[in-house]
Amino acid sequence: MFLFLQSPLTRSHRTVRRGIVRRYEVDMVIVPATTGQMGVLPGHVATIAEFKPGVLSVHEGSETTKYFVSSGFVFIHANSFADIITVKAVPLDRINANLVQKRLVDFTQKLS
Amino acid sequence: MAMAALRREGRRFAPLISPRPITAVRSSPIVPTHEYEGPIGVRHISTQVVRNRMKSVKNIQKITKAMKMVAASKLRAVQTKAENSRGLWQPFTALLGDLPSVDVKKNVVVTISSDKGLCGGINSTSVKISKGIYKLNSGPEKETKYVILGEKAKAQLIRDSKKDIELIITELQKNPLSYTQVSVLADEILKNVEYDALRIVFNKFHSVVSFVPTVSTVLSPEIVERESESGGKLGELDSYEVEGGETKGEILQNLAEFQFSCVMFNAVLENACSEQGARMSAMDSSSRNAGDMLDRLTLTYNRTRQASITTELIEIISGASALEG
Repeated sequence: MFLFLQSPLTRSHRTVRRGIVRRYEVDMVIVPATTGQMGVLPGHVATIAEFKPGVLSVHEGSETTKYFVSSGFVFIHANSFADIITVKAVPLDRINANLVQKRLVDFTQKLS
Repeated sequence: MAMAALRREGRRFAPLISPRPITAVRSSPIVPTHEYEGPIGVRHISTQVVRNRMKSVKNIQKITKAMKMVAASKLRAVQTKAENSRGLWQPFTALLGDLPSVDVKKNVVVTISSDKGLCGGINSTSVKISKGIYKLNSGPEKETKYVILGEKAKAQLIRDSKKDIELIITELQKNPLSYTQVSVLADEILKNVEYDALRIVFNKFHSVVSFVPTVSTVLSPEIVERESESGGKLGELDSYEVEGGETKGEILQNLAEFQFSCVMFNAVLENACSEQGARMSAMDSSSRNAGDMLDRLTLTYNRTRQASITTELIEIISGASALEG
């Protein structure tokens, strides 16, 4: 997913899997960087950061949308644009907790 | 039938006719007319050859029409995927730029082609461009290697560049194309091949009738460092703080690998689209040619048929008049 952040913040999401390109203005994004949760606001210094799998949350005014993202990169450009590129991004409400638990157990068994 | 009766009459009179009746048919260059003598010297001109030819051309026309429809439906399926995947490599290019003119020691040309044929000239153009890049980047201390995806490029490149081929991958489209498959592929390539710059040659899909051969360049992290120090497009890279990880080099390495897999994914999808589009237009022109050929053969068939009828009539009538006269 690419987030294009423009002042305030415009994000464009792009996933490898579904290739959704969404571009919108947001107030803040919290990304699960390898060094921990990183908050990105307009005017952030230009950065390249790598993600680990985690929860990405997008804050638009009073609304927050959360996505689960697999690993990827975020490029924050000097003009308050941010690109977030991940292999997979799923909105959290589409994830079924029970199914995930079951699958986790299955795959851990397969691995061992 | 009346014709049969007349024919029988003709047979009885035929031995009395000495001069051969003039054949009204000029043998056409397409089909040699066949004249053969019947049991009592009756001549029939056979339309069998033309008829066989017409049947086979008609079958070919049906097959090519069907292939065109299949290609059209496959195109629709892959096209949405390809267009969505275009967004993947754009941020990388925005950040790192695409520098085809970069001068490096170790070049690797990744040629993407199709496995199946009958798709027009797209594979030949890809191979031509790959060879061009090879020539462009040849020089002292420089080496260029090929990585080939697809049977068609393999067949063409194995003939004269066998020693420069590092890796050959075929049967890519057996399962529908997915990112996991391509990322495994990219992994293989990155593991086995030393590179300073990877140049991916593929056909970009602009529209159903236009496919443009394109080269995408992905640089290794060392070269990225080198180029960013020397300024230019990559000079701004230094202004980016690199967050996380142990060293900047590690992050750049991951970045380069991720970029390669994204670019490959897009390239493979675009090439698949171009292949289907090229096949559509090739099959379309082939069915049109078959239709033209069928028209010409039908004319020849009718001429032959009418000529044989005329010949028979002449024989009968001259026989009858010989009796009376």
